Amino acid sequence: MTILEFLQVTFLSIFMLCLLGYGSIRFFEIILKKKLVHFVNQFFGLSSDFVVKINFFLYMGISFLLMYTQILLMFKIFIVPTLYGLSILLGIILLFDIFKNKDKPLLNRFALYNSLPIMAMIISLSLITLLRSTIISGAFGSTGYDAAVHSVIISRIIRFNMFSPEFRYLPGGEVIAAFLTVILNIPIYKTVTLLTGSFSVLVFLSFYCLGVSHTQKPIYGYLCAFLATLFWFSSYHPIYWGGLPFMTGIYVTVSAMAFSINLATPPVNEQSFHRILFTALLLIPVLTIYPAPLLYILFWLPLLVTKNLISHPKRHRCFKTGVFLIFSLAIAASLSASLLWPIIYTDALPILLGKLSPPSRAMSRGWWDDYLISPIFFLRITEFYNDLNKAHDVLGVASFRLIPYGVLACIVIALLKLAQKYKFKDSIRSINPFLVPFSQIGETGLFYYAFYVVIYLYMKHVWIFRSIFPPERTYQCLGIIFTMLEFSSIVVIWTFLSNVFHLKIRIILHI
Amino acid sequence: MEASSKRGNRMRAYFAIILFSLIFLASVNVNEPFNMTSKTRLWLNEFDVLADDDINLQLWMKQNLDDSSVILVSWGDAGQYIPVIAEKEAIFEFAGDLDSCPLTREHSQKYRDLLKLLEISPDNPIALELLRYFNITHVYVGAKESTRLNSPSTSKVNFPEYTVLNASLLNSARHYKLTYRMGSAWLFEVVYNATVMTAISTCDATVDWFIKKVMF
Repeated sequence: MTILEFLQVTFLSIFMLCLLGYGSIRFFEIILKKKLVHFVNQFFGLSSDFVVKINFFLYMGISFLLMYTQILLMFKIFIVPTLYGLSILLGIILLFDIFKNKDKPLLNRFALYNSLPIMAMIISLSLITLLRSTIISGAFGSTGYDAAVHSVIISRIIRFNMFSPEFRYLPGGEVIAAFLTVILNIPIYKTVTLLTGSFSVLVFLSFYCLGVSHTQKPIYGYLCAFLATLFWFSSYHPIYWGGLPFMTGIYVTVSAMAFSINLATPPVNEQSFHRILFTALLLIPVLTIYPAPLLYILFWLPLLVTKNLISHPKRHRCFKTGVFLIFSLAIAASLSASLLWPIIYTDALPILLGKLSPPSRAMSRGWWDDYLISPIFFLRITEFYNDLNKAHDVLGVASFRLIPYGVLACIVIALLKLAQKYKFKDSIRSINPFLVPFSQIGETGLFYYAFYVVIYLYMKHVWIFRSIFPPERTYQCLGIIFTMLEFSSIVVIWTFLSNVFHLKIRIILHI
Repeated sequence: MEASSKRGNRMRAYFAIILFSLIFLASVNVNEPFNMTSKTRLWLNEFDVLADDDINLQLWMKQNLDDSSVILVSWGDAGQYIPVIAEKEAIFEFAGDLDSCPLTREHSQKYRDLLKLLEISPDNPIALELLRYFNITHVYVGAKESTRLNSPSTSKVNFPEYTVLNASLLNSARHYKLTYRMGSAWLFEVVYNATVMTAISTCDATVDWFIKKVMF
């Protein structure tokens, strides 16, 4: 695989998924004879930022693709030939809008003053693609084990128009990969590695949107995206084995967080139908791509609803919002029922948490080390803690390795508090984009912390669990218990930070 | 007045950002990212099982093998891509399902037993019995199969259960005929002749006991 291939696939994937999202919304506009794009801007709080809009259409493209595949699977229509027809139809709609439509719903914000953030984004995405692809250029990447499984799943979707529930996996990521494999004409054995790289690049885009949706300023979007990319993944983080659904899931989770900023606000009655429809579209990728359900549905959505309950005095409106959310969730679940089949067919938790066999275990230990300790910034701090680790058991090692992140978060927050002291007007706003990647680090770090502890360390030793639960269910039951513990530990950390720095919780929660 | 205060605040913010960056840059070893990249590259190469030879051989298989062929692949070998590239049925164990899925547990154990036997003595009647049990017609040995023995992440020191098929051993064995070789990637056909079938029928009853008590 070459660097050029990586660049090509990244930008063509963005284009194709955007085309799908934009074309589908415009298609429904034509059928319903209603302006949906205008509503979308209001409801999702999209700024005039062109990059944010591109990401929104990309996200909606994923959502429509999953919904479309679900319908075809339901009626047993062969997917592949229809994809070409669909792309041509949507391409015609785009061309019509560019050349004939006076409103230009997509391009009316594409003015000169917007071109600088767009160029900056193209350069940033290209640079990150280059950094990531240098690791595996000239080879096929990590093609063993998990990557082979994902390739087989993609192959089955393309060749046999089916997804086997025995794979015990949420297939959203593979459906997107199958679409891009067909449309971009990539060999399947290359797809997994190339798309893992491309979606890890798109994570930058999603963090940018998260920053901008909270502050309305591109500069904070870039700060947030660079912080997340450098600290969380680090530029040199490997495109590791089987990362396709994981990277797609992270992209979906962060983007959904960015677009759901207005989700928990009380609804406007005259737009109820559109509101439910678009919330459902927002939730479809979240439900069907691992590990998005765990990160978004378990952590982010409850926080959003809790914040709404605290900040809105009129409780009945909050109740209404809750009902709207449940409706949307039910619609999203029904629109993606085929893709959720593995959860119904087997147990939910192994699918949400993933499943690793003994030989994969050692690999994930190495990956855990590389992943949690970003090589550039945490090296010096972690060296100190690594010495401490030797004196503790393995559980202690894991917890100590979280400390550098806490230290760094404290430095950043303290620095920003300093800026606030000097009456820097945007200091409160500036805290938000900084906190977003850090809270993500906390969430994901703790998620893997719990995952690691449950699966690899305690599974065989906690005999009491084994005696209470049947052997086949031990894994799932421990997973539930530790996920609950993890959730409570996140709440404790946030509360601690808010007390130390005398910030209101709603600011810490960056909602 | 307000404009100058705004400018001053902005300057302070920029100063804070520069200071913040300098604190971190001071703690960074400039060589570290490069060292990390080469380390990561090496680490990833250990799991890069697919080679050009494998792709070419599997494309040959797509054109020349019968659709009813069933190919045995060792765990973690490039042959895992046979269903994707050659579009033929292959038998290999996916990472994951063994512990939690009772339906596949028995099959997986037989698969592991078979690989253990093929690694040591491919002509063993029990190995041939297990090959027949899975209806295997061919055995695939990937281009990087032999090098995986030396890899720290997949070595037998870390994973005693790990098996690596030896192409030379299979080539010299009586019941395996070389079908096609593309560079370092090999494809063997399993030869079930009359003598083998007799040997299999006599040892059928003792198979399970032999595998569990003697060999492992």
